[in-house]
This record gives sequence, C-alpha cells and structure tokens, in this order.
Amino acid sequence: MADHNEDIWLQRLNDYNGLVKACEHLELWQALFLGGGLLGFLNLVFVLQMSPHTDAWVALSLIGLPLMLLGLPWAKLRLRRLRKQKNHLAKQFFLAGMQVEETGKKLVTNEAHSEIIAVLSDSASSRKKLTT
Amino acid sequence: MISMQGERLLGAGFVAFLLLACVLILLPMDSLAQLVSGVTLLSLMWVGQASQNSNRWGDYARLLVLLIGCFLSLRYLTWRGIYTLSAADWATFIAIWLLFVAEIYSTSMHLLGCLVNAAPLKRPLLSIKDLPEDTELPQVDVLIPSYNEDPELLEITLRAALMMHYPAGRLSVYLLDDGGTDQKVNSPDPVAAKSALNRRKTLQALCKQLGCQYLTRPRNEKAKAGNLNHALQYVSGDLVVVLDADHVPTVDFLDHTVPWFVRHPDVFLVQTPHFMVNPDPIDRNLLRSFSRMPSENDMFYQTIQRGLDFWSASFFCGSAAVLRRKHLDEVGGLSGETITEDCETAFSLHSKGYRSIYVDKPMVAGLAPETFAGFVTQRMRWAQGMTQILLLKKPYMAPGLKWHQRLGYMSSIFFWMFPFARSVFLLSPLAYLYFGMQVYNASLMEILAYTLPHIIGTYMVSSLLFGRTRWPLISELYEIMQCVFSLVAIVKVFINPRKPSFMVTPKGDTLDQDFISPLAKPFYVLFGLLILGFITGFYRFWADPLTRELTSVVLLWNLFNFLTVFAALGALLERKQKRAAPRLPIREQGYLRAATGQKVACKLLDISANGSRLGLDEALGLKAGDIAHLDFWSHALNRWIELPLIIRATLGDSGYEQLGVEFLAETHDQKNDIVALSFADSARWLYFQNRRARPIPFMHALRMVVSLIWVPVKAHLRLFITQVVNKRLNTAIKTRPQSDG
Repeated sequence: MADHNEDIWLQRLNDYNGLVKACEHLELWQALFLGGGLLGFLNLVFVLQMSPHTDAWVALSLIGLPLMLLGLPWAKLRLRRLRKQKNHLAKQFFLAGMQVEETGKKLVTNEAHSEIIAVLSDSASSRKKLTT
Repeated sequence: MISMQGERLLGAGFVAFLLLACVLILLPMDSLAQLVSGVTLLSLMWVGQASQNSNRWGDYARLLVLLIGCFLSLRYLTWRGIYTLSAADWATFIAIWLLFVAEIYSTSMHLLGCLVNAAPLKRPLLSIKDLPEDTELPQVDVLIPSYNEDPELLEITLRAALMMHYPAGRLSVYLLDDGGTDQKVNSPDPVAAKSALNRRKTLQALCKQLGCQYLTRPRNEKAKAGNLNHALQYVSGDLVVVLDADHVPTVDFLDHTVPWFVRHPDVFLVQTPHFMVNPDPIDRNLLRSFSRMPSENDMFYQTIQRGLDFWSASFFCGSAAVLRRKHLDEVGGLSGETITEDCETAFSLHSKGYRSIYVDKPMVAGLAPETFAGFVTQRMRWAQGMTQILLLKKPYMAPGLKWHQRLGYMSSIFFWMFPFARSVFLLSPLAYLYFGMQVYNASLMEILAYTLPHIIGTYMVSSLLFGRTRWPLISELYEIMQCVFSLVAIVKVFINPRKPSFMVTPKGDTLDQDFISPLAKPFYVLFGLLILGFITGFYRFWADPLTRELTSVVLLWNLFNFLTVFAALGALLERKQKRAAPRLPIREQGYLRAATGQKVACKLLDISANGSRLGLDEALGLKAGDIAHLDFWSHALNRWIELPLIIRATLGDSGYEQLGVEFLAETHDQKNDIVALSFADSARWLYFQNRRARPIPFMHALRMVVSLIWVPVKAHLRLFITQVVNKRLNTAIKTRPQSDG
C-alpha cells in the first residue's frame, strides 16, 4: 500500500513534474540540434558540389553548424541524465505501490480503483485526496 | 458561425493550398537537392513530434507532422511514377507495375490513415444517473447468439448479462441457440441429432434456471445474421444488445451506453471495444508480451474506431454493441448479404443518415482464438466480408453517405487488401535476386533522396498516430502471417462475390501438447525461397560489379523479409495450453479466511472464471486440498463477496506464500459472485489496457523482436526435425515386413 506521508510524495511529484517538463524541452532542443546539424552538413555537401551556382541563402545554415555540433552532445547527455533521474523517481513510486501519470501531475495508487495521493494543479501545487 | 464570405475565403485558401502542394510535389529536383529538402522536412517533422505534448502548439505540431509526412510520400510516389518505371522486357514491366501498384496501395492507405486518425474523438462517459429523474429508460433485449460453444462458457455470459445494472423488468436476456435448431435435431446423422437434442435440452434447462429465454429456429440459415433476425421476431424492446457467446459484459455496460440513445434520437449504434482476456496465438506462441505490449486489436479499438467516430463512421463490430430496434427494423434487421453482417448493417444505417457513437471504455471481455488456424479463420472471414462490401455495396458511390463517411468505410475496407501488397513486397526482391529483373530502377543516391525520407516519414507518422497502441514491426509480423491465406480468400471473393460462407471462429480450445500449426507449410516454402535469394544475391554481388549498389539494397530488403518470416515460424509452434479458462494478471486486495477462522490479507495475482492465484502477506500454512474462504470488496457491486475455495497448489517460500485456488460455488448466488469477481469490473479492464498502452522506439522494438524470436524458432525447428524423423521411421517400420515378405 502507498505510504501516506503526503508532503513527501507531493514534493517528489513536484520533482517528477519538473523532470518531465525539462525532458520535454530537451527533446525539442535535441531535435533542433540534430535536424539543424544534419541540414547544415547536407547544405555543406550541396554547396561544395554546386559551388558556382549555389545561392547564398543555402549557406545560411552553415553558420549554425558549429553551434549544432556543440549543442547536440550536450542535449543528449543532459537528457540521458534527466531521464535516469525521472525513471529513478518512477521506480520509487512503483515500489511504494503508486504510479505517476505520464505528464507528472497526478500520483495515484497502482490499482484498478486507484486512490489519488497527490495532484499538482496548473497554477500552484495543491493536494487532494479522494477516491476515483 | 462562419459567414458565406468566410466560407468562400476558406475554400479559396484550400484550393490555393492544394495547388501549391501539387506544384511542390511535381517540382523537378536533382537527387542532392531532394536529399537536402527531404532531411530538412524530416528534421521539421522530428521537431514537430517532440513538441506534440505542448499545450499551446501540440495540435499544430501534430498537423505539421501529418502534412509533411503525406507530402514526402506523395513526392516519392510521383518520382517513382515519372522516373523509375521503364522496363527492358514484358516480364520486368509486369513486375515493376505490380510493385508500383502495391506502393500506390500502401501510400493510399497511409494517406487515408492520416485523414481518418488525424483527430481521434474521446467521447465523455455518460451515465444513467446523469439523466433527468423522470426519464423513462428504454426496454433492452440482450441477444446472445451461440453455435457450438460449451454450456459452461455460455453460463458465464448469461449470468453476467443478467447482472448488468439496469432497472428490473426493463432488461431481458435471450440465448439464441443455433446448435440446437430443428434442422440439427432432425439431422440424418443420429449421433449429430442426439448431440443437438442434448445441447438444446441442456441450454433450455440452463436458461430456465438463470431466468433468461431460450430461442432456437427451424433452420440454420444466413448464419449469425439469420439467427439474430429470427430472434428479432420474438423480442420487442427499444434497444438490442448483441453479445457474442464468449463476450462477458461488466455491470456498467448499459449504464454507459443507454444514455446515448436517450439523449440522441438519431443514434442507431453505440459500439464499445472488445477487450480480450487471453493473448492471440501470435502473442502466445512468439511474443509472450500480453501484459506488457498492446494487443493486436488495441490499435483498432483504441485509435482507429475513435478516428472513425470523429468522421461519424465508427461501425458495428458484431458484439459489445447496442442498436436501436426502430432503426434496425427500417433496414429489415441485420444485413445478411455479406459475411460481415455487422459492418454491412452499420453501412446501411449510416446511408439512411443515422449516427453511430463509439464509447472507448472496455466493458466486454472476450476470448481471442487460441490457435493460429482459428486466428486465420477469423481474419479470412473479415477480409472476405469487407471485400464483399466493397464489391456488392460500393461504399465509394453509395447514396446517403457523406464524403467523410465514404472515406472512413473505404479506409476500413481497403485495409483488408494488404495481402496483395505484402505478397508483392515479399516477392519483388526475389525477382531481382533470382532473375535479375530490375523492378526498382533507381541509384543509391536516389534511394537515399526519395525512398529513405518516405520510409522514415511514414514511420514517424505511424508512430505519432498509433505509437501507443501498435509497436513498430508488429504490424509487419501480423500481416505476413495472414497474407498467404487471406490473399487466396480475397481472390475467391473477386471471382465470385456471393460465394463465401460464414465460418464460426473456434474459441476456448485447450492444447494438450506443443505442435506445429497445420498451416505452416507455405512459410517453409517462403523461408526456403528467401534463403535461396541470399545465395543468388551474394553470387550476383560477386559476379556483377556494376550492379553492386542495387544488389546491396535489395539484399537488405530481403533481410528484412527474412527476419519477419523467421519470426513467423516461431509463432507457428502452437504452445501447450491446459487451462480451459484464461487467467488475466491482476493485483487486487482481498482476505483469505482459513477453516480455523484465521484471516490474513492477500493479493489476487491473477483471475479466471474458475480460480485465482493468491499471494499471502503472511504464511497460513495451508496445503493442497484445504478449504478456505476469500473475502473481496467488489467495487462493481459495491459490496463484499465471500467465496468458498479449495487450495489446489502452494507455491513460493514461507516469506511470501502463493496459493493456486479453485472457487467452489455451491449456490446460485455464489456462482453469480464468481462471475462478478472475475468479470464485472470494467475498471480492471481499463487499468490493464492503459498499463500496456505506451510507445517504444524503433530500435527497442527491433531488439525485442530479435531477442524474442530465437527461442520459439529453435523449438519449432527441433519439433519439425523430430516429426520428420519419426515419420521416416514409421514408414521404414511399415515397409520392412512387406520387403522382407
């Protein structure tokens, strides 16, 4: 059964929610870095192949290429670390007989008829206890 | 409301968008420029996919991914059509066009899928309690057609149907027995006649005991549709619930479906998902991921039906549904022109302008076929029935349907043409590897620029639409396993659309030992052909240096086909299954009372209609044969259930004792309680379904399939060799005395 030390669980849910949001942001950055990097690289090949006829705007993405190449490993490593922390927290919830909603806003007991342990509202952290 | 002028503006904008898209799709480009644009668009798709969870931009991001995905596919197809269809001889020309038509089919299905599933509808969960107090609830007739199912299985369904929460006197349950018809009872075969008579008597007694009605008919005409239509002459309720014999409803089934009919007089159908309590044979024999991986029908019931519902095109699936009698009478009852009477009936009523509703909450638990042969029988019927609807009903030009409903039906029907495309994709690389037919006239650079972005884009779109309910590579496996048989079945329908007859899906089988499915032979042939393809391919690679690029690509294609067929071999080894009633893993709290009066808390770890596995919090020292009681709070019934049980097996150590128990039902109420404990609670089905609905990345799926297939394939090959050796030995033993003599 779940540990009903609600303040602790609410705090952990808050941490989990923060990690979910950070992961979402980093995934977006990772996609941007990788997409931008690939685009820059291919444009470089394109410019080299077609150099006398290439318009200048095609080379624009080359300016961002070094930034993308630096940003990508950073985003990957940071994302990996955050995902590990998120999974560690989810495991703690699971071992205590609870499960956290994917968005990280609701913590309920891991049962078909679950009991809500903690909920984060959009504006501020709030706590409810009721049976669904 | 949009004004007339606004509508015109929107229309003009749409036309301008289409024109621009056409120009971009047809725009000529060299391969390098196409590759750069392809990668740019894929990057945009990836960014869109990464931001699909955003509250603010999520919907736009989803739309962007779908549009770019469709654009990449259309651009690819245009390039294929314009630049790659030249052939040196007639045989190659035919092969090229077969492949191209298969690709047109796949891309069309992909585009239709994008449209249908762009915005899946999630209906609110209505309840009878929310209706005004003076609402007069409609009279409901529950019809349970049966053909050859065991009385034990029928008893569970009948009890559960009678237990549904609905005002007494407004609910009647009917068993429609097609196994005890006059035709069968008077059969010229005395054994069959006696068996039919016994069945009729047994079921009549069962119905009398439970308080429901038994109905049978003079002749077995028009299969399930005929059986239901015959029953409609004897019932007069406002609503008709159709439940297959193995489909057990939860107590809240009517509570969440009937209000739709009360609130909306133009609704003719409320369909709910079919939740399977056992794995299908491919999952059971090969994947063994029933609790972890979305089941095969989850994609249809959790995503596609919701998508169709958005376009008012969700259709009747033969069971777990409620129909309005008045509307049904307008089309003369259930349609029986095709063997998929369910979809055909929905089609007729949609054509009359009535609405269907899809409630995405599993409230009926059923059985998937246990054997691969049963699975194929079921799928062949669906494929044939849908093809019949295509040919006989012509949904693309049926009067009364709106354009989006036509597209919805065409999407559902066209899906079943997959055996054609799948067979072409399997055999095309062999045409090149064996005979050197250049079925795909493209350089490596062109493949990188056009084909790869199309494949990756298609995968990204599929993952966005169906990622939670269908894992990568699983569709390929299921389609390969069906395509050989379904292709023949569909061709037969094209030759004679009225010929197919209804085949009952065998369910509830027990398998005493491992055996190779009798349908395995075509897969051995395919396996051999693919291996031969590698041999000829490697020779071609070595002997013809000029075509090495193309040969490498085709060899990779052949490798993908080989892996899928290799996995299929694993699924063809039918695993032993001795339990008559499947056990569903659960984790719910109860209390075990020993005969001594000692009571301990326990967890129900799995459950079936016959028994359960209990994990005790502290050891009670019970042994096999001991009698005890289980106390369980039923959320569905809102009361305690107390059941006597017998310990059948003890498992685990003293720290965490586990018991295999069998329920002992002595009274009518206790039998009802067993059904309530096992099947009454829809929250349990929903919890189970939600737990396994999650996306996994492509590489994870590839790792999973590759790691899973090896063991069953090895076991299959071992059993195959043993069978061949035994057959040889038997033949040798039989022929020896003759030769000696």
